[in-house]
Amino acid sequence: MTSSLNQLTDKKSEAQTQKSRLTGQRLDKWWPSLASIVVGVVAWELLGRTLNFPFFPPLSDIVVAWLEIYQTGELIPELLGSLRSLVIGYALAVVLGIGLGMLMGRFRLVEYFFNPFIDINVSTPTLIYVPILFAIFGVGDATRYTIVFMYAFFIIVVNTVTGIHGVDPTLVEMARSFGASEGQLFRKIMLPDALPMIMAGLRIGMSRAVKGMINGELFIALVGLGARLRFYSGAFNIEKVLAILLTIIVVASITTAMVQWLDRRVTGWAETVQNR
Amino acid sequence: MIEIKDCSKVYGSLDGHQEVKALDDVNLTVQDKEFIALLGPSGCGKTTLLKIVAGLIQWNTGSVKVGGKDVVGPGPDRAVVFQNFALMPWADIKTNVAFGLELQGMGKEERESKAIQLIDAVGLAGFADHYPRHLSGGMQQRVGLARALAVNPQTLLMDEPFGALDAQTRRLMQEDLLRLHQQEPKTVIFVTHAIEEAIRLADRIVLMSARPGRVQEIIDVPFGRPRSEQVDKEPAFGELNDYLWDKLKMMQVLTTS
Repeated sequence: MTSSLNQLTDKKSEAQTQKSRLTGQRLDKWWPSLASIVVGVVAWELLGRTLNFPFFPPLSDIVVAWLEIYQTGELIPELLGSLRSLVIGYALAVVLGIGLGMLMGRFRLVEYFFNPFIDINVSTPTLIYVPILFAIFGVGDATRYTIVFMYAFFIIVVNTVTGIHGVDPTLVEMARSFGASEGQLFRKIMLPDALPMIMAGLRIGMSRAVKGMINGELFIALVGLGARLRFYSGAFNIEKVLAILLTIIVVASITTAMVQWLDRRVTGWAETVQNR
Repeated sequence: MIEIKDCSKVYGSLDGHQEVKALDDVNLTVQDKEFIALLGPSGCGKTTLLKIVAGLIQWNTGSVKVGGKDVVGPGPDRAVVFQNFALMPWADIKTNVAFGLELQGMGKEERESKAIQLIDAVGLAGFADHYPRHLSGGMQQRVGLARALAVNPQTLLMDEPFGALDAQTRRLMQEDLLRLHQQEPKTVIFVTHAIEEAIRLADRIVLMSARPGRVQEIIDVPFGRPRSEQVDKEPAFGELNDYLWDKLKMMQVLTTS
């Protein structure tokens, strides 16, 4: 018994060193991404200055254009309006998408019932619905929310269904053997086991939601960053078009990073096969 | 007491696939605090029988009673230890061990302090906050055992619990299980296809044959308790081992020809 205890202590310290090694690696992974951004920024500036194409201004001109737009005071309200439609549409897609996905993943009849609609809409360009939504809801906020929702919803459903299908059946059997109710099975086994897949759906859903936000506004052309984009491109003001585009890229990066951060928080337990 | 009377189980009869008779008129009575090993070739229905007692599988004919009551589903009087451990990879060891108590609605502090006692009891002191992936197979099954013991069941149902472990770890686990059983005897049904393991651990060995699964013979193990780790040095150990091996070999030959 003593020898087996020694063995256990060895394993324990082994596990601890592994843990500290992982923390060290977390710091390492920022610099390649940072370097790639710096290279991109410098290349943009240099190429813009040397090529001197009218449709490829250097980055510094775009920053100046951005400050001009900012000073007119029209950027922030439009940005906030866009963000509101993003948040509301995405939140609805997350709640309803995960809910429907879990029911479809668990109950075959529900899956067969909804599958045709989900399958069709995952591959159909959501933009084709925009004229219809426009006709139903008019230019109001409801159209913007619904477009964002539709861009994100279907992929979240599909990923959630896949996640539930992938739940380890022995874990379900284990939970049942300890007397789990159907609700406990859902909350304590299926949801956590499917979470890495669901989170992947939320990440793709977020980038699609940003696309939906801009596409919807481009189409309606009256509100939000999309309307600004259309306005400046109509005026052939390429610096301002790119300034708005940069704003959109920053919004997209921040929102996606937020979902990624959440993903790491809740699915840090999942093993990875990637070389670090 | 566990009473299994004329129990039969047929798979695949519902959705029109070819029927497989997994269990055919199985009769078995297990006394309180008795350690029973279900031994047999693969496909003999020993795991099916265990899961029927666990309330995880419905049987077709006959009756299955635990403590005088018909089995209608899983219950807190029985706990299962699974072959592939069935630990939740997202939860740390104390949460895994406390899982049965959590489902029963016990408060977080109470169940975790109870979990830590059991983690100590199975020789994993200090690992409460680790995650399953940091543990070896043997240590993971210790967690599985602690989780089953945590709900304080009268009956432990163990489904080839050491089957996935290497030979040395397996021996250590067997010795620890014997020690735990000595300290606090429970009724145990232990599924295995390893003859030595069955002799080492059990009071009685239920030898099953395959296709359809039947009870072939029930053998009393001629060793008392507390049982020595050196029990394999006794002549009777070798004799019983040879006897069971002949029986199993015959069954394998019969089923393959």
